[in-house]
Amino acid sequence: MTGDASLALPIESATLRSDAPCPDEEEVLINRCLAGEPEAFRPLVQRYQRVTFSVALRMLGSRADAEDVAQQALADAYAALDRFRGEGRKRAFYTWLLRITINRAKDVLKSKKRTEEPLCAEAEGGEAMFAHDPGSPETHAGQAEDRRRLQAALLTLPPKYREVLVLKDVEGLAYEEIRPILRLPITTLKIRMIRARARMRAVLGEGS
Amino acid sequence: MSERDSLTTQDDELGARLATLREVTPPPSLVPRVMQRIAVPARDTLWTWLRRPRRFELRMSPLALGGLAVAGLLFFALLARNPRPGQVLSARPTAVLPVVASAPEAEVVLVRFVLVTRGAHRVALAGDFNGWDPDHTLLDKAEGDGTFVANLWLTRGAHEYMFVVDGQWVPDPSAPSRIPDGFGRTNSLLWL
Repeated sequence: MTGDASLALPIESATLRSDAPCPDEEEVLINRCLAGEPEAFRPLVQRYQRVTFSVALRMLGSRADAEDVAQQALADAYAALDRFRGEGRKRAFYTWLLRITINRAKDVLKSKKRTEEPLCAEAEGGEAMFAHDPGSPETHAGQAEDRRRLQAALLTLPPKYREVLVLKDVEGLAYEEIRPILRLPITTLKIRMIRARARMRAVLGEGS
Repeated sequence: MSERDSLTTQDDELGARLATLREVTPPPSLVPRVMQRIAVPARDTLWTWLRRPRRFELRMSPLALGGLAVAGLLFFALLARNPRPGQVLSARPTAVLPVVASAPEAEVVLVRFVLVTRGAHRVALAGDFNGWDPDHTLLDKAEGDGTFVANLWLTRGAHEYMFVVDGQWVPDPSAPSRIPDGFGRTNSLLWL
């Protein structure tokens, strides 16, 4: 954790910590966008900026790349709003946006693989501290070190394991929500999750 | 604790630790940059422009709308009346009754045969008066509307005949009467 990090989360990130959107409200905003009012997209960007950035950051390990991917994913989502079919489903826009984000992040990973640019874990720079964390400075330091280790371990995993860990364990999505994002059957997702956690423990040197 | 329980506990601990990675502050520039990008949309390609649904508003008075409808009807009516060269508008010939002109006591009578058959190129008249020769008496093509005409001097009495339209033998649809030709078809019959 860095010393200059803010002690309080930004309003949109803090208040939307639970990512509990209202489908009706989102539908109204999307319809306004489709009617030619781009400014109606701003509340959606504010609401989902954290999760798009977080997923991109955990997939890529670089804040600069994560910002590019988050920007691209949100702009692509806006451009494709006419093809979005929420149909009143709970968190439909959220999962649709995450699918775009994951795909853009994979594009970057592929291009980095082509150019042989090594991934580096610089994700902890600029991270926020918990707003009401009562722990001591030693505790903070220990948590920050643990997060650095976790992020570095994540980056050693193949993207197919990384993405399920990010969506399930980091972001806390249910398998039912991950299924349309990764377009995989639930059984496959669960098996992949078991293997991903096993690999993660092995990389962390905590295997049983 | 069984191995399975141990693994479950380890999974739970790992999940809880990974959940701490969720706390991330996105850069303050993210929202303004996204809004800037969508405010200046990328230039459409022709294909994108053609595929994107659009709403069109047509403001027109009922009078103008009526005028437009009438103009459209006139356009199609004119189009139908002026066929392109070679366009077959009607495959069925429409004959006009032979026109007869002569003095009451004359031995021969001038008869005008008229056949309207749009799209036809060659129309001949064959009958007992020319030995049923389909190449002997060709009808002249009148201007534009598929009308073919021939004037013939015929002796008084009954004459059987048929038109030959582009090689097809066709009875005169408006002949005064018809008579079986002995081969399962009918000839047109004209009394003079």
